[in-house]
Amino acid sequence: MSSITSLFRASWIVGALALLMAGSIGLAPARADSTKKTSDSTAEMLKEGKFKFTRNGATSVVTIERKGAAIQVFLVAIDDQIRVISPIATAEKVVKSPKLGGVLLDANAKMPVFKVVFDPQGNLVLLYDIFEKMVDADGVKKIVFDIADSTADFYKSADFIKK
Amino acid sequence: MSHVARTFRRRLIAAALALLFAGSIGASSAPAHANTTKATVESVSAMLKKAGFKFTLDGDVYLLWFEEKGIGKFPMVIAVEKDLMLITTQVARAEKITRTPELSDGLLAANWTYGLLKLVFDPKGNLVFRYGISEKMVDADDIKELIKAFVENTANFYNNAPFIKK
Repeated sequence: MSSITSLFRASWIVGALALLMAGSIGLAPARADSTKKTSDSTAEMLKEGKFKFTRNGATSVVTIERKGAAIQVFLVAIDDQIRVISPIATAEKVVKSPKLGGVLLDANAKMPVFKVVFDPQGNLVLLYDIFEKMVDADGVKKIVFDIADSTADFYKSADFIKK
Repeated sequence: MSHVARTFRRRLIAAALALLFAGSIGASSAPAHANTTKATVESVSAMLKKAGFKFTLDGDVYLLWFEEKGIGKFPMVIAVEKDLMLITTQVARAEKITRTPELSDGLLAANWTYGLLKLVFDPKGNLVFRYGISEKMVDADDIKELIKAFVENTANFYNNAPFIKK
């Protein structure tokens, strides 16, 4: 199969999956009022958890020291959900290969809670989504610490990331 | 319960437990405390009953069955470890999936686009939806909402995925 055909096929599968999931939870267009409420609540919970953070619109950013590394955790309000994103490696640090998709899917299968995925810019990140109503300050604190710890562990153990 | 259903149930439970105790990245490295797990099981049982679900419980693993148009009857496993609930539904069995390298990339991309649920292959190669959450974070209404989301999305995905042989 030529690389163009292969690319087209991959794009088609991604497109088909995106369409398939369009009706699912998490993909409905975000409502501004609900997103603002979720973002405000997230900021309040971070304050209560004594986190130092910056806020830009619907996104709050926490930087914490875990396992000898400075880890950034982004909490993005999307409608009534919070998307927690912790970058593992920037796109240029990831050694891509035809097998990498399979390797990362396997990694996802082994992780009970978080997802490892590429963001739209090609950066490798850990991800967790949760309804805002299901968490309080302690819950947010636990998620932030857990995802930061997992990010540090994943970075250290991944041989496809240029160190 | 038929022999096939029993075998299937055992496989699902084994897979769920294998995932929970894999010692993988993201998993707690501390040993499970039986009393904490027991307390979570009691709480989850009460919430499932309050939410109106029928289930069977084997130790700390719940089995629920659902039936939807197209996909037919399919199982949901909720495994408990300490305060964590790991909810899994099977979208398609391994032999029904046409696997390609492109499919792996597609599923990986879908996991970004997609909301709460994670789409992965379990150790047996079955395609499953999964979500993990602390029991402390949910009440009966929340569990009902999560289960409803699982059921709808599992059926929808199965019915529309071109790479699943029907």
